[in-house]
Amino acid sequence: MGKKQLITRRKAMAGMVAGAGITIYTPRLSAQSGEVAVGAMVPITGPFNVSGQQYHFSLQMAQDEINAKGGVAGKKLKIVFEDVKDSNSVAVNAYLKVVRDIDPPLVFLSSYTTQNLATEPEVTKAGIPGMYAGGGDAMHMKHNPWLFRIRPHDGLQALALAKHATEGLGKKKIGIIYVQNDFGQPGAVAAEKIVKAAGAEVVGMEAYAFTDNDMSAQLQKLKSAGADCLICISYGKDGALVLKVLKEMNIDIPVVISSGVMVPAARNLIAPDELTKVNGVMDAYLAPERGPEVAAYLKNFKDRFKVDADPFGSCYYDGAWIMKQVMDKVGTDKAKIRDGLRVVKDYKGITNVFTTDELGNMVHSLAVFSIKPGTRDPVFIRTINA
Amino acid sequence: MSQQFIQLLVSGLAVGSVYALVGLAFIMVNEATGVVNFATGQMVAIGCFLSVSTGIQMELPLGPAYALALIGSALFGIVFYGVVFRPLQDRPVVTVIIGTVMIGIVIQNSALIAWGSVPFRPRSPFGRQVVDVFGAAISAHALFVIAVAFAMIGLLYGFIYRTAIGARMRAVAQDRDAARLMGIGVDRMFVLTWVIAGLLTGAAGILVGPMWFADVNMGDPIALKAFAAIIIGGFSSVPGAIVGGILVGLAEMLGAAYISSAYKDGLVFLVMILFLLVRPQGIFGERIGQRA
Repeated sequence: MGKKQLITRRKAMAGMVAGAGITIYTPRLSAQSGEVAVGAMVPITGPFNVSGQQYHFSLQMAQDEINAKGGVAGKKLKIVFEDVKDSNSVAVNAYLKVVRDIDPPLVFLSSYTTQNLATEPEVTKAGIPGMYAGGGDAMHMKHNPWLFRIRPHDGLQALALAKHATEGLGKKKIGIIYVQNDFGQPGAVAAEKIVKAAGAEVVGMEAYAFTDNDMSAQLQKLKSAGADCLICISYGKDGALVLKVLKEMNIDIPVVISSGVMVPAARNLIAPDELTKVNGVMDAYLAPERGPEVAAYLKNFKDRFKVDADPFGSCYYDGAWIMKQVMDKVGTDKAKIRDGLRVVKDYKGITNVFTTDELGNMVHSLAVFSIKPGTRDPVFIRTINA
Repeated sequence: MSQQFIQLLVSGLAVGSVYALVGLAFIMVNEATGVVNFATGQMVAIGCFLSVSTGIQMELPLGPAYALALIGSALFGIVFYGVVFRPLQDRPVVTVIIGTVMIGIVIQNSALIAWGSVPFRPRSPFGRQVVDVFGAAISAHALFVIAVAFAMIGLLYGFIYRTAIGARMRAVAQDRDAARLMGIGVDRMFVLTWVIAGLLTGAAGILVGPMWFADVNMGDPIALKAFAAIIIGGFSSVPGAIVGGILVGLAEMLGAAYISSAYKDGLVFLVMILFLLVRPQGIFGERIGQRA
């Protein structure tokens, strides 16, 4: 035949060999017999990676410790991590991938609310219990019975910030500076209501973008408005920048700041004299003084990963152990795990005491700290309950 | 002038100076090669992190630390030219642009592996010193940023318009083939262009580190504002990058203080869109037809 042969025998053989090779060397994600594979949607790369790294580390540690104590439901635990970066679509695709590949009995969802809001419809469709740390109240307003929050929600944080500024410090003219996103904006509005309800005045509310690096204009406005105390609703680096700029501008008023700044990685960015008048809330009082389990956790974490554990990521460690407790009782049936998670009561974890409420929130208190003068060390002041 | 206005003015000038440096890096590469380098922001981050390595991790005194970081940034420009631009230079422009976008992602993730996700706070030569300017408390580092940025811009201007090598670079920018026929080493001029882009972005990174901290995601927001600055100032104009950078910096600060902090970025990009609609060549730029 005159027609040119497009696929020669040699090419076909090469294709088959290559195909076989790919099949052999493609990482097998599906759960092996004798192990329970669960998913974890972690922001490993991208702007959220500071907290993502802690989340990643704490689950790695939980996996190894749980396996050292017999695994879950009598089988070895395997956590399959997927990088969700800072994108909602990446988070949804990662979730669908992990569901398709391993059909997990539980998935640890992202620590960021927007990603979890995007993934939530897929969670319902899949019918797989999910634990998450994102604080946005919009998540629990979904009333999704498959979702369980393992850290305090943002409404509780706003309550703690406002209560401490007014009742704790006795301030009457409050300025609020917040990161303009689904975390900061609702938090600022909620804090404003609580401040006003406490009989104090909100003299100004100023926003900045998550990627902003200079908040001097906003701080200048709040100073000019006569603020005698600032509530700052921020993440780590941006909150540290706010405190740095305040010092540079000689604005010498107390600041009550959200939990992102109180984690070790963020505190280390701030000079001790910039922390002099700072009070902050934290998800948990994570210190060796709390007991031998907490002390051992903190030491093991530091020894293994060379960084200090923070409460934000460590809640996933607790989440993994709660999952073990439930799966040990009910096995790997998804509906039974969901039902087991719904009745968790007074579980004492490393970060908090966990009790599930009707909205799926498992943590109901926050700790307030000041800073020991001349250091970056937090000093526990009080606990604020929901 | 009120203290508040002075404070905002200096902050705006400092931020704008950084945008001007980064905008100049955009313009240098675009004029010489016809390509918008979308990895410019990551080159800023690399400059900043090289100063973290030399100044914090190696604990060198700041003079040598900055010098080494600048040399590293210039070398990075050469590597960028050799690895990304040179192999792709004869491909369609869109291919080269996609190449710069992709290498930007590679640089960002490589930086994440190399330096980790936790931000650093680089040292300033002035520590955390604050100076009094007409009653306003001004960070000494902000004044240093303005001074260094303008000194660098002056040096660059002199180099491009007052030296023989600068004339050759301009010849290559105007007509690559004609320049080659005149005996100018076009490839060497390209290398030099990328070295200058590396130095400008490296200096911007070194300068912003003590103000804004060093983190691996710092580059894109800076590059985005610098890009808006050169559209406002004029895409092919050195004075345009300077004026555009300063305008964007001031618009950010004064807009946040006197209009709305929530919409300050929107304000900058609104101005950019207005320029694109009403005066697409920017303040100092040439009309496309005039360049033909």
